[in-house]
Amino acid sequence: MAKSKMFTAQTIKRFTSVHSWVGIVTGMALFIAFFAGALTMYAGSMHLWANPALRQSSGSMAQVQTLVDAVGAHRASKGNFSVAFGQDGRPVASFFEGGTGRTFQRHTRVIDDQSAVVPRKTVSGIEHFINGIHYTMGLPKYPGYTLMGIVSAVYFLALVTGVLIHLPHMMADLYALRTGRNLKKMWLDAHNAIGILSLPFHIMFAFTGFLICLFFLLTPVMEKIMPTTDASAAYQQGGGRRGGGRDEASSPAARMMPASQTIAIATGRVDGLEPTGISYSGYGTTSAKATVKGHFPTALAATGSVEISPVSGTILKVDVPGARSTARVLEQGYLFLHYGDYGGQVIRAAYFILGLGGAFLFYSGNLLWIETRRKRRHAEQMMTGWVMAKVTVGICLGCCLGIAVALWGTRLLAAELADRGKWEGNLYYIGFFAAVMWATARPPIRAAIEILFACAAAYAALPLLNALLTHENLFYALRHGLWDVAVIDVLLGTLGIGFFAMGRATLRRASNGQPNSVWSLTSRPVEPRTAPAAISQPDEALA
Amino acid sequence: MTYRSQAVASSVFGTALSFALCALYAQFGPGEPATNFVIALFLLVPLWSAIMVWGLKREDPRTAWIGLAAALGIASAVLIVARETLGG
Repeated sequence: MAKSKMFTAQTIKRFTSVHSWVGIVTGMALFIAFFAGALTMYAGSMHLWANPALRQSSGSMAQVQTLVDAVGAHRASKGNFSVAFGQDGRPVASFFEGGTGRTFQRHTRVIDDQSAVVPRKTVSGIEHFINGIHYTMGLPKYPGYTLMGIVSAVYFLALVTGVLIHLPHMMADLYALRTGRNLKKMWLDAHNAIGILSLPFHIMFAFTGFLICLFFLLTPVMEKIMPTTDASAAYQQGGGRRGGGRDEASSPAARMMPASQTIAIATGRVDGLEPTGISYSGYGTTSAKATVKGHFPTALAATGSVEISPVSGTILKVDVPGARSTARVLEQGYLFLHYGDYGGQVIRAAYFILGLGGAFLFYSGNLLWIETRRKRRHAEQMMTGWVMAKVTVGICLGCCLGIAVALWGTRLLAAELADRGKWEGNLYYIGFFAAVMWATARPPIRAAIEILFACAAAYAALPLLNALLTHENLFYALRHGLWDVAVIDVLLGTLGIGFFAMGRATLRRASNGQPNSVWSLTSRPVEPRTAPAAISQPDEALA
Repeated sequence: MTYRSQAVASSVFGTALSFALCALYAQFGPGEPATNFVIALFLLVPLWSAIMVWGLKREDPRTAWIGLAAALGIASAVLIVARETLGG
């Protein structure tokens, strides 16, 4: 192993200690963020998987005007609505009724087989809930965002110290996976290899996660510190976000140009714009605005919009790649880097795999911490390792189980149930806290095996449940091009298999592995009062 | 080997110093005001990490406290003078 010239051995040891403790403190929050975040890469598909009614639409781009006319004339829409060009160009219109805040009700309209505009009920918002777990760990919104922002900053520090530790011998040790009797070395090598190989991805996530979670807090703090607020004001002026749909019903009535013509003006103005939807405000009045939204497959900030007056056809605003200010490019850049929305299905799949790999990194980090503190010559294990194992199992696997239970709720809860969305959320917490309590009550190894098998059963059964309740099984979905359903079914089935494999490996380790460990069926915690002096310290320090 | 003192110094003064330096960048950075503001926010975490590493690397905790306090003092003084001069 090459010796570091940049830092003394003592400094490397100090950074190792910081890396370990920072990792332990933030590891479980990051596990939740990465596992839930990996699932949100398929949020759009999950939305359709969870709302079978939305899949039963037909129509084509040629019928967009029928939908626009019907929804624009609907009293509750007040002229503010949007039309998304969904799967295979089937248009889906949506609008909100009941004002602002949490009181609004979402309405969806689609075109059926007889070319009639019919309502479709959106019963589940599970993808939004999982996204919330990703950003807040299930805590209330602002405390959750703040905590996750701080966790991201500390995670960045853990990455920096981790790189400084491994920098001198990074290439030499990268592919050295020491499999053998010393499990600690194997876990350490696996942790280091995954950490180094996915380092750019982790640096990007720590950086963008911090900004996304704390931007709302950092802006006013910086305004207080800065000598003047000129820069902040310039930023907010240039990138100011518009509010929701305005009520323009008081303006005089006016004739609207067809949606197809509005879209043609937008695509004629911006090369490479692939329209994905159109939003209207004040439809049917002189002050109406139509925003044609589109996708740019090769741009980092892959979405853009062109705002047009549907009365005169005048272009009011263009917000597309190449026409943005530097500040807006930077802001959009970090958002899209985090969302992985710029490289199609390949990047989406890569983010999903790297997200799960990241979750494994934090789980293996905690296992390492426990493994280095085990007593090799005693069945009794130190209480610190015992408690850490319980907490790791309860919280990390609790999140996995909670999401599975919530997904069961999307399938089994009655569509007419009042506050159905809230119940889906409650089911997550039921699953999560059940796992935490189970891990507290049982020895950690038994709890780990049982919860892993529970997760395996819960995830593997979801595609079957979907097939039973919607008659759209995986094979039907593949045959009829229901790719969103197929993707989620495959993903959930794969997770089920993955949890089963992990449960089996844990069971094998518990039965046949080294006995003097928290992860052995024969281990037990040492009673603090009766702890012999000989086992009051771990065998070796964290290497 | 203990480095608790360095860690406290880096956390307390290092966090304040990184905010102060980023605020100075936002005010006096070379780009457009809006761009300077976004880049200042972008620099916050890397700068904070660099300061944390610098502080943790000190063998003598006093050098961490003195160095960071001096840097924070200078940055704060510049901010105050700029605020008075620019009328913020």
